[in-house]
Amino acid sequence: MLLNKSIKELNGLLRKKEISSVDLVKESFNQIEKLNNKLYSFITIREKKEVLKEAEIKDKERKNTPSIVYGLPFSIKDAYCTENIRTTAGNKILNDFYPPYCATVFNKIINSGSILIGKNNMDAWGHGGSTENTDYHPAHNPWDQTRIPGGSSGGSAIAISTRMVSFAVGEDTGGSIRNPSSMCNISGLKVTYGRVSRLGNIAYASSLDSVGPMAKSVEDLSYLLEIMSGKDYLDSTSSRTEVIEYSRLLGQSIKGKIIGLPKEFFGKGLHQKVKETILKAIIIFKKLGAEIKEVHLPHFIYGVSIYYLIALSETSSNLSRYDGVRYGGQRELFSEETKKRIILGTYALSAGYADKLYKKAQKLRTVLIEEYENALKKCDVLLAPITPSLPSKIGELINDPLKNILEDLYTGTINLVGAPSLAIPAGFSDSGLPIGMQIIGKRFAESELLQFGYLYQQETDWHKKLPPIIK
Amino acid sequence: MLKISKDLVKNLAKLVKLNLTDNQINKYSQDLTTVVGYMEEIKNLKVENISETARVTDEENVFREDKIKQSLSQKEALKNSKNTHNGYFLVPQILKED
Repeated sequence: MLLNKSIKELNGLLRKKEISSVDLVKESFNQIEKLNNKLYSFITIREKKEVLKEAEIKDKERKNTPSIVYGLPFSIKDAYCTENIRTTAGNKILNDFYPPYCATVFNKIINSGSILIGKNNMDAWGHGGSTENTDYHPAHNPWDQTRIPGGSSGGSAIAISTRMVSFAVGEDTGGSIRNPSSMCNISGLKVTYGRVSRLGNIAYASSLDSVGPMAKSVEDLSYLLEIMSGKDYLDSTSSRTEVIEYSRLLGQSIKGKIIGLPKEFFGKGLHQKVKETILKAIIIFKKLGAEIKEVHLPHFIYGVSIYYLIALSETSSNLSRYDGVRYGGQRELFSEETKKRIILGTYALSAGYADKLYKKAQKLRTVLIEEYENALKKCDVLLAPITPSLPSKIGELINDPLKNILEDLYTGTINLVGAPSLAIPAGFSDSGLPIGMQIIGKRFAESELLQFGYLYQQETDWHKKLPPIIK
Repeated sequence: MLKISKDLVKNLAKLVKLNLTDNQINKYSQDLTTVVGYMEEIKNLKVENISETARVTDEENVFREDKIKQSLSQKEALKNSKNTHNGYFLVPQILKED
């Protein structure tokens, strides 16, 4: 299976002409034809003939470019505008929306020569952590088809986990890259707010939305981040902070660096097996020379409330643009979860409640930012679980509104503070379900997170394990 | 205690232009009351003298040169609309004739 190889390996083989992009694209379509009607990873798949033709051209023109991802098949969450390729954001309102322009991040990857295979399934507008709240069939976890793959970027995680593509682009508003990465046993990076342009990303909550890569390993992520990052004058919140050669800095030692364990992340509600998995990872990091220190984030326990009040207020405003006039269908087509979120967000912003709810949440956001800053003064990175429990059975979260939002407990606050967080595989439950962990850093410290993750993946092989469905 | 009653759901739905069935109104009232009940945990937290955070970007005064660049053609801008007329978007009537 060629697509099981790393970006670097594939690039090497392509340049030596031992394999071709046509081979890779054929393999992509084989996997998709075998598995997509079981797992529902894609909403839109490009015409095979057209993609093969594109691959032939890439094979001919390879020598003209040094790009490491040239001619590699990839997929992108359906939350990104792709010119003249249907873009639904997982909702029937946009069932026949063909954007007149491309998202900046998509352009950057296409300009690096990668080949788009299709658009991945997602919770509509990013509203969910399960890829059940989609109008295009709930997605299934490749490790256990009766369970959710996580979300909202669930389709992209499935595509990588089952080697349908070499890599994917996800989006993370409150955990949407990290949560499915954890549940499908892949690596994913939620970047610092502003590191990657959001232009052409269909907005969920604009002050939290973060674009990011999803891949098989930290090494792959580092190459992708170099391509995706940078200032975009069409997104005024994108950062002018210098983009570094993340891949070149990967081998650096973490000896003497301090890993903070935020005590509040390991309290009530955390599944025992998830906790044990993180504790085992600590042993590896200690072996690599890192030191461990306990830190505190006292307001973390209010994170879900603060996150949801802000995210839903913003989404109620963002989704007001769907009026059925300029593009898209009528508002009745919003999914159930989305209608509820719009109503709750409007409530939090309404006269009489805005001070008690939305504005108070914004003040508490300031408190959280200070607490994270203080914690990260005492250590280099934080290590934490991603989800409180193992992947749920399909249908379980939809029927339990509180459990549904508590899924974001460990991820949402990181979006509130705008920090980067790397999700990597860390082990399995007794029943064989993947368990991930996240390494959280200071703003724009992606390089450091990737170094920690890379060294961990040199010592472990969790990230190499394949789901039973493709064995 | 915060409660999202059925009447409140109806009013909010009207504000955001959502037509809901009675079943939806019932279900949303129940589900959202559960959620705001949980969110009440922030009620007693003290936040006086703390400023609000709306964004976490460090960027300020982001300017670009005021140059004319190619933008969408009228045809491209209109192509996703279901109702156009003579190069315009057609909107629903909002004023009634007497």
